[in-house]
Amino acid sequence: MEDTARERTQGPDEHPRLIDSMKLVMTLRARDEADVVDSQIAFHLGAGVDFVVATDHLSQDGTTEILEGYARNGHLHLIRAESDDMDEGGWATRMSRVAASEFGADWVVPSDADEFWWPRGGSLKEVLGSVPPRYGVVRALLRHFVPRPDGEESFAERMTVRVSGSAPINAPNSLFRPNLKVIHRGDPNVALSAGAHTLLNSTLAPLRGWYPIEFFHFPLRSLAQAERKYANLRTSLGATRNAFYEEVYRARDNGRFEEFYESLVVDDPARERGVAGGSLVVDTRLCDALRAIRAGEPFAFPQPTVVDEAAYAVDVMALGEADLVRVQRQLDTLEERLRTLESKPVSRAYGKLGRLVRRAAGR
Amino acid sequence: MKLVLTVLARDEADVIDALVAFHLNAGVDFVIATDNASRDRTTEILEAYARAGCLHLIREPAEGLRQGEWVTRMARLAATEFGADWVINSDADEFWYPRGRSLKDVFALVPAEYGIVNAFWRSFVPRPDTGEPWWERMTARLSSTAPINDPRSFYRPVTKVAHRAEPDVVVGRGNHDLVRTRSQPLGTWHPVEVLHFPLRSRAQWARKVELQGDAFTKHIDRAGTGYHLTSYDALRRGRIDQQHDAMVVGDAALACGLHDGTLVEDTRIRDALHELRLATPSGGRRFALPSERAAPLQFARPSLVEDAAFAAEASALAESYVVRAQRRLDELERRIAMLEPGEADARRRRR
Repeated sequence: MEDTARERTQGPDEHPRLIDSMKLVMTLRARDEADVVDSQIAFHLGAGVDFVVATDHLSQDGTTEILEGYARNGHLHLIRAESDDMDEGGWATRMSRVAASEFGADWVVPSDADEFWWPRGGSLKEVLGSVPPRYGVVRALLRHFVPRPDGEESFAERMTVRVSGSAPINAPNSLFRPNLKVIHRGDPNVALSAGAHTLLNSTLAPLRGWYPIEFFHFPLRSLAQAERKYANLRTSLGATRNAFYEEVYRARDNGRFEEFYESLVVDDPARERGVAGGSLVVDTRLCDALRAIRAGEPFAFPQPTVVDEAAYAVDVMALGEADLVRVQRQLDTLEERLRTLESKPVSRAYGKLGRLVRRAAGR
Repeated sequence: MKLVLTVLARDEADVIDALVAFHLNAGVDFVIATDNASRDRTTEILEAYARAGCLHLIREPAEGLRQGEWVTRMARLAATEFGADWVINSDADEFWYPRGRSLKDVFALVPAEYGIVNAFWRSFVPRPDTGEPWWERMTARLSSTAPINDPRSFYRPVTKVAHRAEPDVVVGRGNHDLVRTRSQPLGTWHPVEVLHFPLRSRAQWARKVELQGDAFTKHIDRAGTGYHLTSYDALRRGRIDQQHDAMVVGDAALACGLHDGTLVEDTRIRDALHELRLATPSGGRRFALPSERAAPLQFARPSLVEDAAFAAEASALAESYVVRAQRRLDELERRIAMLEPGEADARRRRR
């Protein structure tokens, strides 16, 4: 029979013990993000992150002092990147490796200062603790929060509308295309791509089709912040990286950046139209959590209902994960690699020996 | 043609009576049931059907929820002792609903070269526990056109297997597939729906989690699936009622789901049970046998619109299979990489 009953070595408490002893480290890259970085770190320390490894890239707006404050309190290890050049992938790789080798990370969340990682039903630690051991990478679904008119209130109070996942924008020059980022198990040899969207040459297996964490992205929070962000990027990156940046730089070069920025801002009438038409969704989850943190109150990550889960599954479809063509391509590659392995002299000798043994045994 | 249903039950008194009666009225000729040490009224209900001559009862006192082994025993018995042509392997909370006039009619349509039918699992969502029977309350069903691939969710798109009778068949755990068979599966045609009612009340959920959690942690040589682990964890932390309540779909969520189409109202089981309910219980049974009814239970042939909606949902099943295939490929790729010389060198360098 297939199911033999026997005592398992694993005790019933393994799951909670696993979560209690898990160490979760967030890495953080920041340059002139003083309007967001304090909230970002406070939120994640409340959401299950144990420790932060941060790279400060020549900040001049008070970001450095905020990071130093968390470092003094023992929550953060600060790395200073002194060169003007931006090495996004290199810094993310270095921080992830440091997280594993020096700070004992079981899982690493590679973040930017304008990203908030929102677990679906339980803390970040609880959600990552439920990932089966054979998987080493969890991908998070990007939620784009749209720019809103400038004002006295914080970005989180104003930016409570995001692009609907069920109405994906696939234009190559859009800032709001569907995308993913990775969270990975701690590995001192890990390497990350620029933007931490994928791991490079890793044997950590991704868990496909399931995105138990969303990351809320607030890239454009005010005109002043956007101007500073793209000025810094132009200096650090030089050549443009994609069609959206090309448009940004063209607008800057022509002295039309403010006009360009205003074209991205969703004002109240546009907000109402977008929500009514289903292209925008009101989402106050981060706003509510940051209010709770400011008030010194606890905040929780409620379990989504099956209705929420079904709607989320539709959003996830926009990523095109169920891609039969890609499966066939992966199969072709694996067959080729297996053939190479099988053609090696040692494999051929094992094969011949196996056939002889079977023949001798009369099979 | 003779159609036999097997069912494994432990403490399922709130549902087992309806389950046996429904299937006998839907075209099943005979039921083989394994009662695994029930301590509620499950045993008495099964005995009532055995006395009526339409059920063979196996008493299984062992612990450990050896589902694959016990279902295999019943499926083989159906072939060897009870002359079954087709066997449905059901759980106690699953109602196999034909997309045709009866279950027997549907299985008779399967071409001779095929011997396995994959029935599409369709889960009904839990509703607040008002004390009414579950079938009166649970009339909303998930209707997702996109697969929920969360390994912790019991709303993942899956199929359950019915098969031509074979004396040496081996049924896999969960009745999702056959481990050993001579039969060929009929791939993408799903002529039967399995209407699934997994979470019916606080008390029922707590008992189910306790039984499955104990089995997976103490007896079964593999980890439980995600929802077994998270639910058992909640039970052990004294939070099972909160966990149950978080899964219940309240009136506001129901209205939202019905409005956006992720939930649909589906009263088929409620309506069938209303028809089958006896005015006065008979020998421990609350529902009528086919012989006690003037006319057979009617199953309406689905309309074209219903067939189209069904096909859209079944496409989510196909998409979930692609995701699962990718997960398996990733694992295969990892194993091959470990055998390749470059990776072996890299591992040595790391050491």
